[in-house]
Amino acid sequence: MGYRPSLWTELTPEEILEYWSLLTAAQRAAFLERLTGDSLEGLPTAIKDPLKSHDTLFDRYAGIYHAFGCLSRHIETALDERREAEAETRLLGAKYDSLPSLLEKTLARDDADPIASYVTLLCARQLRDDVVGRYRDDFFKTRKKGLAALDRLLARLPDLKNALPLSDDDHERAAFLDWYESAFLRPARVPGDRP
Amino acid sequence: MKTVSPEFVDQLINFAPTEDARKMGFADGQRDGTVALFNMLQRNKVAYLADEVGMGKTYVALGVMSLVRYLDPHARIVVIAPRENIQRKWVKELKNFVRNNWRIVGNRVKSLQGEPAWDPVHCGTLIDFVREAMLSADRDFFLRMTSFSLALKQAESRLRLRQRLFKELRWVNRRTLAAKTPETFRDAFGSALNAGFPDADLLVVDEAHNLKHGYSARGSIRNRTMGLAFGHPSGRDTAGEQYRPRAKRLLLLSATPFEEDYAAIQRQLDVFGFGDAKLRDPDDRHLVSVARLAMPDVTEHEKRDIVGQLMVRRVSSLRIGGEEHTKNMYRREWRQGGYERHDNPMRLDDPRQRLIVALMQKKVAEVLQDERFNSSFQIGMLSSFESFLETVGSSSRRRRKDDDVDEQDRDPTFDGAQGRDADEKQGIDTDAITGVVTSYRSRFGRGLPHPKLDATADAFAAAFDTGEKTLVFVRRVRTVEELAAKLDLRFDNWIRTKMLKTLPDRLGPAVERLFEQYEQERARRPEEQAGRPSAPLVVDAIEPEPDELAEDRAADDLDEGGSESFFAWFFRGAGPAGLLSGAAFQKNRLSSQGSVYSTFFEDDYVAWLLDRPADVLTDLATQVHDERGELCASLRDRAYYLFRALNTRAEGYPRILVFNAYQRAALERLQELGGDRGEQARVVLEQAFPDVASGTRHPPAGFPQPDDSLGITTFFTELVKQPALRDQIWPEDASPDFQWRFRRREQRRTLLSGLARLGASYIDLYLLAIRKLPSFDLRAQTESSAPQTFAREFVGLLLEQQGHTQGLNAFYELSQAAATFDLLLAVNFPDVETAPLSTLAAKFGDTLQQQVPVGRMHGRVNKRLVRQFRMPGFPLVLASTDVLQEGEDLHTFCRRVVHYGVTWTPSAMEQRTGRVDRIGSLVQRSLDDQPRPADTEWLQVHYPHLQDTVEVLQVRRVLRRLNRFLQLIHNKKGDATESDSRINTAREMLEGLEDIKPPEGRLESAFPVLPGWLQGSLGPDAVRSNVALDQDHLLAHLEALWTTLLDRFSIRRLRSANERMLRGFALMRRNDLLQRDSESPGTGEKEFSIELRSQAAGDATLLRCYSHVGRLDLKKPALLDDLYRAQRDFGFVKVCVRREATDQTDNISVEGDLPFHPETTQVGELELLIARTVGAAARLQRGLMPDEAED
Repeated sequence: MGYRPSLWTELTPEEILEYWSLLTAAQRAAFLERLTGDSLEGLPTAIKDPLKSHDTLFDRYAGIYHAFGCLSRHIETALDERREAEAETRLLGAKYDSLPSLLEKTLARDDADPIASYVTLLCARQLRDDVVGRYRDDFFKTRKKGLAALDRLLARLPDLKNALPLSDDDHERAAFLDWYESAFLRPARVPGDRP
Repeated sequence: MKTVSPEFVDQLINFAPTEDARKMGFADGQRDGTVALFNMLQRNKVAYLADEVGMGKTYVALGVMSLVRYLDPHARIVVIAPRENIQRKWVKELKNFVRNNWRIVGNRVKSLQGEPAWDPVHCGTLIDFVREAMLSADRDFFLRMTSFSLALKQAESRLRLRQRLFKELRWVNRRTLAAKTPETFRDAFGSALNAGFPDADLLVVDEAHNLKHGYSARGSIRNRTMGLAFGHPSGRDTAGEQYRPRAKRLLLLSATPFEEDYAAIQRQLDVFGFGDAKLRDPDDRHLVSVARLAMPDVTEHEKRDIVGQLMVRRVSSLRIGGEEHTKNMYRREWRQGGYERHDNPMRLDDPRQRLIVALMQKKVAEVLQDERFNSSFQIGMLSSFESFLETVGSSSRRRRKDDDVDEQDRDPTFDGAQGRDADEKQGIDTDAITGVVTSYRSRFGRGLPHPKLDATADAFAAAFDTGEKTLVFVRRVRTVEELAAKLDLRFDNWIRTKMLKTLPDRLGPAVERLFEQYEQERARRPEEQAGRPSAPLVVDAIEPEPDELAEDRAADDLDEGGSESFFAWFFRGAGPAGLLSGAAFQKNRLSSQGSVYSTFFEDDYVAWLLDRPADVLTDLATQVHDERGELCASLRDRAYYLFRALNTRAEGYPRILVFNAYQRAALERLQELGGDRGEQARVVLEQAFPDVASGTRHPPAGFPQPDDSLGITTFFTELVKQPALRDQIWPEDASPDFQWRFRRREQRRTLLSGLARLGASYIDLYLLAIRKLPSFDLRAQTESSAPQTFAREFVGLLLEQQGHTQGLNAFYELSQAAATFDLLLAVNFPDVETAPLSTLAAKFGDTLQQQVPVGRMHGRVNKRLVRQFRMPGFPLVLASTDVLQEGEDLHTFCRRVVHYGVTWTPSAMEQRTGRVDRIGSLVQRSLDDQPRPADTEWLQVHYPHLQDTVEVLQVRRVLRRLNRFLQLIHNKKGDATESDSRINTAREMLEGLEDIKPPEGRLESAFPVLPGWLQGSLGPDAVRSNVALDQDHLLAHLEALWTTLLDRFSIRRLRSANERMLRGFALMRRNDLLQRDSESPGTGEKEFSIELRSQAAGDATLLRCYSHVGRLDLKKPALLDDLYRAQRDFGFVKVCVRREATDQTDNISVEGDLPFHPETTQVGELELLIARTVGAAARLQRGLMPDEAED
């Protein structure tokens, strides 16, 4: 890809989520086109307004979950098809479109919506646990360092939880959030599943 | 071929019969539409009326139907309505149209009685139609589409249908109906029905867009059966020789004739065999084929031209601030989903609610990401958007049984084009959501809040202060219940606050205890314990058969109150035991015949006629030239006679009955006085107290004195002392016709009484009564104010409310009803105008009883609730499934529609909004010809949704399709089509979220009335003058015969308010009329009347003679035998029995008919008719009630 490296570092969390959700190469190209503005004789131009994404659902719950669903499928497919490097890049890597990159940007944001940040990390935690549960032996055995780095990011989850602007009643708050996380992380029942 | 001109139609139809209708300015458009459609039908056999929702399509169609009948007196008309409620509405509107709009009385369209000349027949099933058509085909038939949706999957269902059809059509080849598969049986049955269907000169199909999927072997049972029954060409090869097209001309009606392509028009026409109709333009120059609408290679431009040859669509507008506003301009759409600030997203300030939304959206996302669903869902089919409660899954278990209706048509909650997958119907997210909800309840012991539902309930709770109504459409039955339950809780809070604020502080603790008791009883309800609102789990919307409806109505009549809301618990039904509740005050005080409050809502007619003197009895004595004492004595004799004659079963002297007896007695005295006042008294007697035989009877000492019943104080006698208040609540209608004025006055009084006793006003009335008492204890009622004081206090309260307060209170409800009285009569009580005054309380009461602050509608149309929603006051919010989507007018007091659960089709969305956007709507009344209004006064259309969820994608799709529909049907450039009802979130998530604004600027119809269609061969002179004179000829001849009769026989003429009716007393000599010059004495005098009538379904005029016999209780079997024997002996005349609703007695009369012709009927025939009728009535009276005959 012939784009400036800095372009990628400037991706917002919403743009990373959107990027995960792109379905085709053409869409990815259009995505980049949008980020870079009009091309000049086929050459990339400077980003006109890199932080201002067009209005999408990726700053909302629906977009976050959808993107994580896409990421999950992407990683599982890569692992099932023995494209482990690709899975590693997305799940543990440090590139612009990796999960750690998303988490770092989410955690670093001052003006973030606390609930959106919280559920983003919950999704990440769920994804991490799912993948670790399925591929513990053959994939993570050799990537303990990367996993530890991811876990360090996920360890910030309690901070986000504590920052949620709920009522001050400690007992009630704790009980609610305890139930909440459990309900959030428990897989949903889909029609046809056994009860 | 006869075509008509506007001038011709003007001679026959008045589309604006009232001042209000003239002001609305729709009349010329309706007239032109009628002319154009009639001429199209004459030329091309097909036409489509596609006026915008709420512009009076029914009336335009009735205009066309009446023209067809006028020009061909034996034309047969069949109407197909979509559902049973709309089918009944058509019959009601036909009667209204004939009575109010058709100008010419004759025997063709409007009978001499002012009724449709051809009886309208309501057909509950297709077999009913076949039977009724064979009994008498010279009637107009009203069917419904759902009747064609046959249940054919089970062999037993097919067998049952087969047997029913054979019972009516014995000549049909049985072998053809032995078809073994549902499909072959469907075709055979449809073809067999064709043999029993009569030829229709005009077939009218209302809401024809329902047939948009057309006629095909793989299509719906309904469309296929309908097509074959009306003789679709495809049936020719297999059906019998009798098979043929049954509809000669076809008029389709729909405000939303297609969704996104014109081919839907062709498919609808094709159902009835007009799919390749050839259309000529008005000048007969071009010929185009309807079939080209279905061809993909034909340009949109050409298709639009073709549709223009058969379609008329008028666009309504309001003139606001000097500028014409079409719907898109006066509707204020809330497309971003919020309620608070216009076109802003729904705000959720509570972080816990936001977390719950996040959690639920997570579960929805997980379901969608399952490979089974591939990130896709059907629009409107995710249950979590509406409610977290268990949804329709188990509903079918308790589904109403309806053998002949197909499963598919039992479930109009979901559009036919959408998936029928069982999981989708249940909601693919239901299991996931249920898991979370159950876990929350088990952990915290309460239900999980639904943020969107809570926001909706909060947004409309203000209605309890303002009185503004809201119509909320949801998709799922459970949502109706859940939303209504949340609003009920808010209403409970409202009424609690009102009670605490209104009542003195000393009653505050008692109010709190009342609510504690109510909460305890409410908590004991099974549905509360289960954490669910009361909800019969029923999927919409099975139309019950008429007998079921009747049963429902009967069951409904007993108001048992309830504990779903404080209002139902405390103000309705029996009320809580031992407390002077609203219910107890109603029952013990206002409704008790013996209570001093029983006359609270009466008017003192005698005082009124005497101009309300200070002392009514003294003034009456002066008027009738009598001493006061003697007058009182004579009034007691008369009153006691009347009291006993009319109240055979009353024990003691119930106050209201004695009051009525004295009023009658005094009115009789005034009548005898003669002059203007005597004539007014006669009218009051005739109208308010019919069937009164005067007499005297010496009363016992305990019978009350007249001054307890004449010159009394009631609410209405106090109200008239406050002219400004009276003008707003009980205005006098100006007319030189005293009878008309009196009837209007009584109609208004009875309606106000009903509202004050049964509506929201009753809360104020009750609180006024209770505030002087020490407690809510039932025993405290003995300390109530005297009714005179109470009447003054209630008027005082209304004055205070008139001057100082706004919003929902008694003054608001009563004054709004008074201001819209004519409109209310038109939409809710069309027969009140001509109904006997004695029946009005029952007619209004039937609608006003069992009111609820929040209405629930699903499963079937609750007609009473619909009528209540059309009135000011309760219900303030009506939550409904799609069952109210079509047909019912809900516009009179509502200008806010909420699409809480969106539907896939623009037509359905438009139909929903159209319920409140109609001629005579609140919006039209308040905005038309007015300066620019406040933002809140526009018609508000809400699409509530949460921007954080995938619901936003669904709403956006629906809005885009709505815009596309508006562009196609108006002269706007169209967008690309989006014909998939499924949302693929993976694809659509990547699209931007730019605003989807409604079309801007004034809309113009793509299919206006073309001038050529207004050219007709028949001008104003073609309205045959002799038809108009027929009635005059008839009346003149009748008067001549009557004069001769009076000369010859001892008949005393009585006054009659009806010009077609003559009344008199005939002196009889045995069974003959006594000759005037006879020297023999008469054997008795008997009252009778003769009246001109139109023959039912024929061209002839009848003269009917009527003579009253008396009232009996026919529960005694011997009496019935006597009547039967009498009928057998009389032969020529009929013994008739009419049940009196007021006192449950049977009114017996004798009636005879005579064909009447202005040139041939002789006086001898008239003499014979009267002699036989009156003679039979006299004999019957002597035999059955000798005492009365003596009197």
